[in-house]
Amino acid sequence: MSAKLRNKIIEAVAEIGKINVSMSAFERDLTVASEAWLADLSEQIKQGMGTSDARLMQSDLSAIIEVLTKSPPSPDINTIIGNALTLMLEMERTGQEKSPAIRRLLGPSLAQEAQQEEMRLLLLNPGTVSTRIAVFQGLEQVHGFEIHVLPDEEDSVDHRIKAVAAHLERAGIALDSFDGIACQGGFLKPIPSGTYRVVPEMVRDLAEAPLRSHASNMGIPMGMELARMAGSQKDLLLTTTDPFVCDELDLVDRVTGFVRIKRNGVGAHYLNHKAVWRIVASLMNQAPEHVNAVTAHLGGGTSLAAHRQGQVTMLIDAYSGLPSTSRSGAIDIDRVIKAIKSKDISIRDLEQVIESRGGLISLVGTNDFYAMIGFLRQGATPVQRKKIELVQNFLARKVAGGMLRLTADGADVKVMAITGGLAANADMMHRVKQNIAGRYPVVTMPGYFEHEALAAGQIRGYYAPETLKDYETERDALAKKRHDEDVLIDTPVFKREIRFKKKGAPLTTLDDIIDAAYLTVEENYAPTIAIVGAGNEEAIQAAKRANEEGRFRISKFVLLGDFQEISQMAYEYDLVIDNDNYTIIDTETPVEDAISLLEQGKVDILMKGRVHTEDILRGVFKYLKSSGQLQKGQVMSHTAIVDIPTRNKLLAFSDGALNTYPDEQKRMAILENALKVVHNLNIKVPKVAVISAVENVNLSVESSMEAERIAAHFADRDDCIVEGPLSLDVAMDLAIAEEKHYTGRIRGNADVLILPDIDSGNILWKTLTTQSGAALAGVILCGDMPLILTSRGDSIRSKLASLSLAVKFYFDLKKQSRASA
Amino acid sequence: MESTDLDQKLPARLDAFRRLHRHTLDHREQFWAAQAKRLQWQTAFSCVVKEDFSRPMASWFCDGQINAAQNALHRIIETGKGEAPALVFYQKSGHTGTLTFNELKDKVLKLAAAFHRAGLVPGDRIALNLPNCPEFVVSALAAAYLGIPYLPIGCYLPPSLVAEDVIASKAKLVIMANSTAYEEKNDHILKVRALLDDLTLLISDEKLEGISTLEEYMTEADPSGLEPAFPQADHPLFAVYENRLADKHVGSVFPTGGFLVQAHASFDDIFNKALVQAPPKMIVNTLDMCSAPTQAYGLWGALTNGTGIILIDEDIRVNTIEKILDEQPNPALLCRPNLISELREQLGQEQLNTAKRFPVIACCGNALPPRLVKYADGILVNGPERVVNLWVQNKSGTALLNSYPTPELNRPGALGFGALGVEPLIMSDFGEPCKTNISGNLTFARSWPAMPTATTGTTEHFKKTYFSKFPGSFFTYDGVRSDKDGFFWFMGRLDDSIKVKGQSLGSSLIEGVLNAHPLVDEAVIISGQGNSREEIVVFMVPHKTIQEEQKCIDQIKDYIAEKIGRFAVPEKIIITAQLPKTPTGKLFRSVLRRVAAGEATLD
Repeated sequence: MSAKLRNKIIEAVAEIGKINVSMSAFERDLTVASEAWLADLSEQIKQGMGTSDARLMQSDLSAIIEVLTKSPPSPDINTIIGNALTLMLEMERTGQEKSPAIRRLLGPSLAQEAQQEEMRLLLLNPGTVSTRIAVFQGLEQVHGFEIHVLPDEEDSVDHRIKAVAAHLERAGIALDSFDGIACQGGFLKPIPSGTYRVVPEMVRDLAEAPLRSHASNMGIPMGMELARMAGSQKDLLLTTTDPFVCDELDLVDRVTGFVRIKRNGVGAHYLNHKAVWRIVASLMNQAPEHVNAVTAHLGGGTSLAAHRQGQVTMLIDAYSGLPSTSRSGAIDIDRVIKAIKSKDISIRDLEQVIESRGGLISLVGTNDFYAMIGFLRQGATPVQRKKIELVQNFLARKVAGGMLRLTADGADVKVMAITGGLAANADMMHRVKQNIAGRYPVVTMPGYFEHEALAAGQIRGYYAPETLKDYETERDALAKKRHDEDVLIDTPVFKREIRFKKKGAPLTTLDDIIDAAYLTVEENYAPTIAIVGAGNEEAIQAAKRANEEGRFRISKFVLLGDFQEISQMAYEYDLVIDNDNYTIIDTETPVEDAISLLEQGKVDILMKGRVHTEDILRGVFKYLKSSGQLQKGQVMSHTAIVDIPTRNKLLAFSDGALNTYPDEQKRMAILENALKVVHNLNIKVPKVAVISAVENVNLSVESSMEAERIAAHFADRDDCIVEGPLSLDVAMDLAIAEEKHYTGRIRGNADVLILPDIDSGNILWKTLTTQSGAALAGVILCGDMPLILTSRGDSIRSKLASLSLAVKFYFDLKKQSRASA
Repeated sequence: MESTDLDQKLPARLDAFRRLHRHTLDHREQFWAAQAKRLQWQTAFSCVVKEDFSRPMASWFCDGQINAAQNALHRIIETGKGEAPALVFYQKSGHTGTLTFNELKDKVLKLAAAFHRAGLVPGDRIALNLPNCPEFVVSALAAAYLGIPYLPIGCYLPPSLVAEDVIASKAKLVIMANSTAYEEKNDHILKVRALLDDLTLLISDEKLEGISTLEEYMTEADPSGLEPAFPQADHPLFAVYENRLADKHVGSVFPTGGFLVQAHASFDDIFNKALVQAPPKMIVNTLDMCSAPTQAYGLWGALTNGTGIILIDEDIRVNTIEKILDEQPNPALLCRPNLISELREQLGQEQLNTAKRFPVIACCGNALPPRLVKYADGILVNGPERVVNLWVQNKSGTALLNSYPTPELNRPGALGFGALGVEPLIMSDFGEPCKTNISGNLTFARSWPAMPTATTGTTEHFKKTYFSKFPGSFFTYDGVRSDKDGFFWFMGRLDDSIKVKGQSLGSSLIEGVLNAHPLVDEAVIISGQGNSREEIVVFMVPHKTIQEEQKCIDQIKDYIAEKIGRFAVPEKIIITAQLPKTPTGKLFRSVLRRVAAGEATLD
């Protein structure tokens, strides 16, 4: 069988190899021929050609493009497609037909209508240093002017309006001769792309809280004022198209690596991106919505857009994206932070670098790309030439990298287009294309299509008003959508952070204990915990949280007690009784039933719910005795583990809950139990302080003498360091230990405290938890069996930690007994 | 499951049963039409159901005319069961009285004739302030024979409430038992009489100055030539009052046709068709006669299926149970869950003094906890599956969820499945259906034949209480879940029931009234344990911040006194900015209960 398959594959591979050889030879021929032909055509274009010739050539070109786009893509073919499209566009631009771009944007039928009806529109495009205006009649621009803002003049909407009105008057153009005004939109609230009817709400949004202050924000107020000046009987159509604040990003692209910062689509040259994409699609004879494309706008700012099914779903915006002639683009954030910290740069500097003092001007010292190129040709030293070469490569790599990044969604990208001032530089384009290496067809479309796009938007709105969008509706719908997405992004997955910890390392926080328990469960299985007397909301809540907290369930629970009572609690606390993770056992004698389940091996660990501690302990004791698990000298004791915020490790103490006034023998057994628990926390040689009121043996303090004897008993053990008597401050505080000249090995760094009796133990317990914000986990050891006991005052986290402690203990013990067997 | 033969046994296998259930839902009208046709109709119904839960309105078997008593007696006698026992009464004296179907029919006709002679006509009402006794059964059947709706009134109610109920129902006749049935003995009867002026009052078998007995009432009645009435299907069969709010008696009125059809079908499904073994010939009714479900399983459902009724006139003792098991032919037991625990207490570790066992025990109300099922198995029944649960409420009339006495269709502690032709839905607090094992609110989006209407003047209240939380669905105030096999499990009650002055009051009732107050945004009632009795504690979220708390509290108290009555005025009103709730919007009632008891604080 496998031999057969192997032969089949070898045959197929060989066949492909053959096909590839002939295919590549064929492609080489095609490339050579088409390159020559395209070069020839381009020469003809330069010399000018007749309309009929141009038509013929155009149809030739589009036929070739159509065939090639359908053939399997290869670098050679992609290159031909890109060049052919570029050439077609060039031909149109130099051809005799007027306003080819607007024609392509409007489509043939609408273009014809508009040309015949000759509507007149005024176009307003306020920039930082000037207001560019244009007058279109039909499809044609009949007037264009750039009104500069004089340096000594105050720059305001009013001044600009006056300047425009004055200019029009000088030029003999009456305001009421217009049918409409197309305004640059500015930084409105985020909206989907398209042409919008201008509404007063826009002015409010621009005035009250523009997303960014920018000269283009003046476009709409200017338009509205000019329309007013034109007179009320002349009801001018006011539109704006694809402003910088379009936002069509898909959800994936909105996420950043830091949950509190989310992206949106705002801040790119949508007018130009959308226009270029539509024009290229039209050149390819396809509906724009069917052409997945990447467009790059390389101007004063650089922005890149990925067009998918008509929407810009991925974006590299003009501010935090790529370097441009005057902007730095994104810089590695840790280097920026380091620089800020070392006071090399300030936040203010960074703002400038991002806005106007980064990119080319920072690297070369000019924000005029062509000045740099000019200097390269004339005046540069060899080293400077090398530097400029480096910068060119840097820019080219960034642009190509950005464009390829926008193909990372795996969509079938048909074409890439580069536009803007830099697109006119053939050398730069050559570098970018080299980096893209024929992966996609690249069309270069030098210059800007913003005015054509604004005009086309207005013309379409004039003849087909149903295409005009309503600002408030779209804005609010988008805000709602974005809000819902934000909720998803902000949805917590884990209730607390779960950090990876290496196995075997000492556990230093309660969270470590919880994580370690999860790890243990993952390696083994989820043990079954019987909650004895489960009609207790504390227990139910702990059980529920235990399985919700982590990545998977930590335990199965058997809830013993009154059926209806438990059901009611489960209902209120949303505990899902599924007879797998949570099972109810209806009983009036939970302790007996729990022990019998333990005997049958149906449960692994017991947890105290609403039963008396003595009852459950008595039951367990009886069980251990009868099953021979309790050895002579072993006692049951409670060991508490506290996580004190100011300490860098856990502290165990015993016994603050169970044994009231243990004698010396019993206290040693308690110490043994505590050692077991602490060893389980991966503390290999724990430091055990036997606490008394004093750190010296004092005949009048009986606990000090007892402590000395206990310490002596453990003196030759190598799995622990036991010292006593110690006062609490010496055991817990290094400074005090030094001040008191304590010479032992435990100097403020005790792992375990053995306390004289339940009073002192409980006082320590309550002092720590109520006064120092310490969290506490506890476990009762009955021989080698852990028993979970939580008290009402415990927080959920501390309950979970207690449970985890028992679970980890249970499995570690099991492993030990397996190993010893 | 292409054809469903309704006279056959129910499938014993879970998957087959679930297919059958689905089928009865998908062809609900055909199913209920077929069930209805098993009874005798004077005039056939023209359409099965007209319903609109947005109003809410439901009317079953429109234009059909039916006589309930004829279906329970004449129809059974025609099948040759005339001499079978229909009613057995175990008296305190140790005496046992038995009536066959024939004898029962004669008694019923005689009483009906007496009613007729006294001028009672269809549309009049009679009130039955009777315990579990033969007179109740005879009176109810006689009334139904003439198309006279009857009103059972609990014997535990004080005389003043009995009189109020009688007046509210406009009953023309009250039948009472002998004095031992009431807490106040003779005084009860006398007080009721005093409150009712010159209304006709009858007592069953005791001499009491100035009050005639049932015997005397019937002496001159002549049943010959007495014509039965054939009321419309939605003519009321009986009504039950649940509580009394400011001049209004809130309760349920059950339609003759729908109630009879569903009681007959449900009884048959549970006691006869699900059982592989011989079905019970008798049923021991230990439920209080004055609730709606008792009318279904302890009276109409049993008789229409030809099953005799056994009544016990005393506290139920183990020896009575033993006696019944020994003396009666295969009797089933109808009881509340606490009867089982009472019997367990009486028995201790002992066994019954007889080898006989009940073929089925049906528990009404909350599901019997598994440990009691385990106990009953072997001692009262053979096999844990023989203890079935009937989920009933006063508003449901018959069981809408129930288990069946076969191993695959019963699980200890479970409520069972939706009754055939009835579809229970579990909704989250946000009105979305709950998935498997997720607990939510039990609701019904469509009506069932026995569904009652509200008593006069309380329609708005009925709508607000049962149809407002989930618009278009009937809300039961029970929290349930359904497991992967389709069993429903009771998880919690969302409506605390509070006992005040002998009647139980749903907290939802007061909540509904409170929520209508302009000062109140949200209100929850918890029944707290007071010094001597239950206390009503109100947790209230005000609409806006309250300046003078005491003034507001007084205002609310006056409002409740006016709208519901003095008795319902809460002992404590706790004003809070927020009620403790789970992420899924459920209320932490246990926390509130602790706060009410002063064991915790709201923070």
